[in-house]
Amino acid sequence: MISLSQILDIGKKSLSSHQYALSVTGQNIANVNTPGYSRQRAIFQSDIPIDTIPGPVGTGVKIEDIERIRDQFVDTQVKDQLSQVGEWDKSSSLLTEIESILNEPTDTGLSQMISDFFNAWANVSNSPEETGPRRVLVAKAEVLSDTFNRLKEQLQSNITNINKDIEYKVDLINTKAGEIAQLNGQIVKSEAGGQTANDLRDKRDKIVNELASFANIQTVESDDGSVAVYVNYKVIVDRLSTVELTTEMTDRAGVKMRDIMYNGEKLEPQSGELHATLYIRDEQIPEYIDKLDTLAGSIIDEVNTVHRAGYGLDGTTAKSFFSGADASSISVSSAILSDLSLIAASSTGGPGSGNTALQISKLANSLSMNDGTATFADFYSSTVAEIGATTETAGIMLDNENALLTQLKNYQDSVSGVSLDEEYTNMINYQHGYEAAAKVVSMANGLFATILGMVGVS
Amino acid sequence: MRISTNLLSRNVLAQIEQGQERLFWNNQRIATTKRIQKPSDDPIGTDTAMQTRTNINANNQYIENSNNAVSWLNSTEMAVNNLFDSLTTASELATYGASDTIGPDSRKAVGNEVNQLLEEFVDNANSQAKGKYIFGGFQTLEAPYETEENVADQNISGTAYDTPIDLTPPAQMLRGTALLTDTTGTITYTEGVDYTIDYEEGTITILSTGGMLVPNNYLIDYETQISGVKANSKGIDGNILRQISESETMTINISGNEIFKTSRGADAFQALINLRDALYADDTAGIETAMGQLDDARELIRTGIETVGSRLERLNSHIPNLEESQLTRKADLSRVEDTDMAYESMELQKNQIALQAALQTGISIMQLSIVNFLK
Repeated sequence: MISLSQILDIGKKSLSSHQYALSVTGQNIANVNTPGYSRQRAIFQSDIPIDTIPGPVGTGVKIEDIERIRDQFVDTQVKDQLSQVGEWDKSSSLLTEIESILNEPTDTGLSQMISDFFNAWANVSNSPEETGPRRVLVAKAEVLSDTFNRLKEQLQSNITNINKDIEYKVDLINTKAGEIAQLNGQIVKSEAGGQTANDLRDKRDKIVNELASFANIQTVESDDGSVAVYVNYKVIVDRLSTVELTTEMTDRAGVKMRDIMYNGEKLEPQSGELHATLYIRDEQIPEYIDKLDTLAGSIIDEVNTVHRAGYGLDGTTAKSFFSGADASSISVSSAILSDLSLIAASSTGGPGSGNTALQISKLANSLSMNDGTATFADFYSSTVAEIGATTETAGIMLDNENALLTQLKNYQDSVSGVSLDEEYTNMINYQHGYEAAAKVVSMANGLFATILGMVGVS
Repeated sequence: MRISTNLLSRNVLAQIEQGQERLFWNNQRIATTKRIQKPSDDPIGTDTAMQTRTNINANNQYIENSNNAVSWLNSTEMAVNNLFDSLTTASELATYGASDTIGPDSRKAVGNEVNQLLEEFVDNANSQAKGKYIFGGFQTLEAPYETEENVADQNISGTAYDTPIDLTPPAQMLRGTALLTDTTGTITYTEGVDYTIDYEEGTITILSTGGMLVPNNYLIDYETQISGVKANSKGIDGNILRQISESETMTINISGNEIFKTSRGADAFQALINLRDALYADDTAGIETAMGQLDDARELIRTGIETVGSRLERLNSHIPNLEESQLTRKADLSRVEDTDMAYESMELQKNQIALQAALQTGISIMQLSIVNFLK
């Protein structure tokens, strides 16, 4: 036979289970806007029955577990996708910065400066005896040189900024690795009893995702609940200990670059923000700087070669027009700056001859670049177009990867996200269950009173 | 699919953001009138736009160069026409001077006219355009032709006062260059006080009111009229070039060596000098020879006129072509670079409507909640 106290017990357990469930519901509702929160569900489980005659009788309900609703598979997909998005986002923003430095197609970019420069030579050839056109020529040449100087400088300062960014991101990675290690400790302790430490796990996952946008992250969970974290297959968190990433400045072709180091070896993440950053800094920006240098160098060489064969107004010959050899050093020779009559416009020494100046102005049409297949303007415009195409691709890739990420996140959300309507509905259910349980308690209480009344105790 | 609360609101937000971004770029493109805001908007279009700009800039310069050439050629045309006219007049004078019906005095007068023509001719040969000598080749800052005058000296036997003494013809004196001294050269006499000179006749008269004695011998030095014309020793050759298109370079100048005084013998200056001197010397045979030389010289100048004329003609059709292709190129550039206002405005309206719709529907679904219905 079942004792009355067992009935009371059933009621009591139901009350407490439903109360528990309500608090979980409350927790879900409270955390509807918490980023990275996975909804929890109280698992009702019928308690172990007791064997009696005539048969086993139930002992009520208990909360077996607070389940954290999570889909591991889609979580991993989201983490990997975050790396992709991080990579293209950084790539797109760095490249957009670079193409805006160029300021093309406008009439104030380098392309215009090159046109103006060669046209100024034509004007000198039209009036080789006069100072006016020479003055204009020197002004245009100085603007051209300044533009080259400035463009290269800005690209180089991009490298400097990237170096700073890398330092900062590495610090951030180390900090977050430390946080994960700490959380590992807390989770291991809390799960020793057999329960899942839901909120701590949520927190840890959130930090892992933050890391994922920087680089390609791999995670391996062990049985005790701790997670080992790898950056580009190199371990940075193992249970409670971490391995720190460091950075080191190296000099590559005269430019200072900061590398990421892992135990003395260079670390080059294969995806994520850092991958894009390193690739752009190590490959693309130097390539663009190189192109600027090549262009400036060619202009200097071609102009000087023709110029040296010509004669100035004072009859001198074999003088250079430009000094310097690349985009940062190109400038008008100081001799010419102080004496405009040294500009060799004449092909023979006669003041009325502007034929050397004419020849120089014709250099604009000569195929001096790319092994004799492109003019200066062609070379530059195709470089700009290339940068534009690369930037456009990065933008398109970013859009695509973002779309995929949104899809994955939506799916993740549909699994783990809190739906207020659902929680309210559950709340009503659990309320009813609680009320019903109270009725059971009060009913059992009534039975007690009846029995006591039976034996004359009032 | 299970829709969580956040999924709903995040999606609504994303749609609104996208809508706003589209409107932003619509607005940018309309306000700046540029379809290509940065190279990544249209890389190939950027390449085309940059190349077209380069072409337009170069073309502007060719137009400038061509106009510059026209201005030079116009000055040249005027000068060669004047030169041709001078020689035509000289021929007419020569014909008159060669006829049997006139005497030595008339011939002398004609000779003076020819001398005038000669001086004008030299001036025109030294014509300038904007301060540059047009017939001087590369030596544009120095006059290409310089006149030579002989310094002659003669012994004069002063036999009587106030009687004109002939100077040896065809010595024609340049005014103000006479220097009359005694035979030792120590005493100098003053023109107008001690003696007078009749430049037309080529005679000198000793004044009785002056300080000269007769009979006596005196020495007179003077410069004659132009005896020769020589070119600048630095050389007057050199082709002045103008680039009038990407593939065409044009010589704009004619050097004096090509039309006045060439190695083939025609020499306009010498022809005029010979004619003048023959007229002064009353030498009809010499006049006839000079006439032949004049004809050769005129022929040469005529070819110069033709050269200038054909160059100007070429430029007259070339410049409008350049200007027209400039218009075409600018239209091309606009087509690549500029915003299609009509299209963009329509897109703007479309996107505005889309954004409004997104806002309205988004808000309305976000407001639906079971809480509204719970009692």
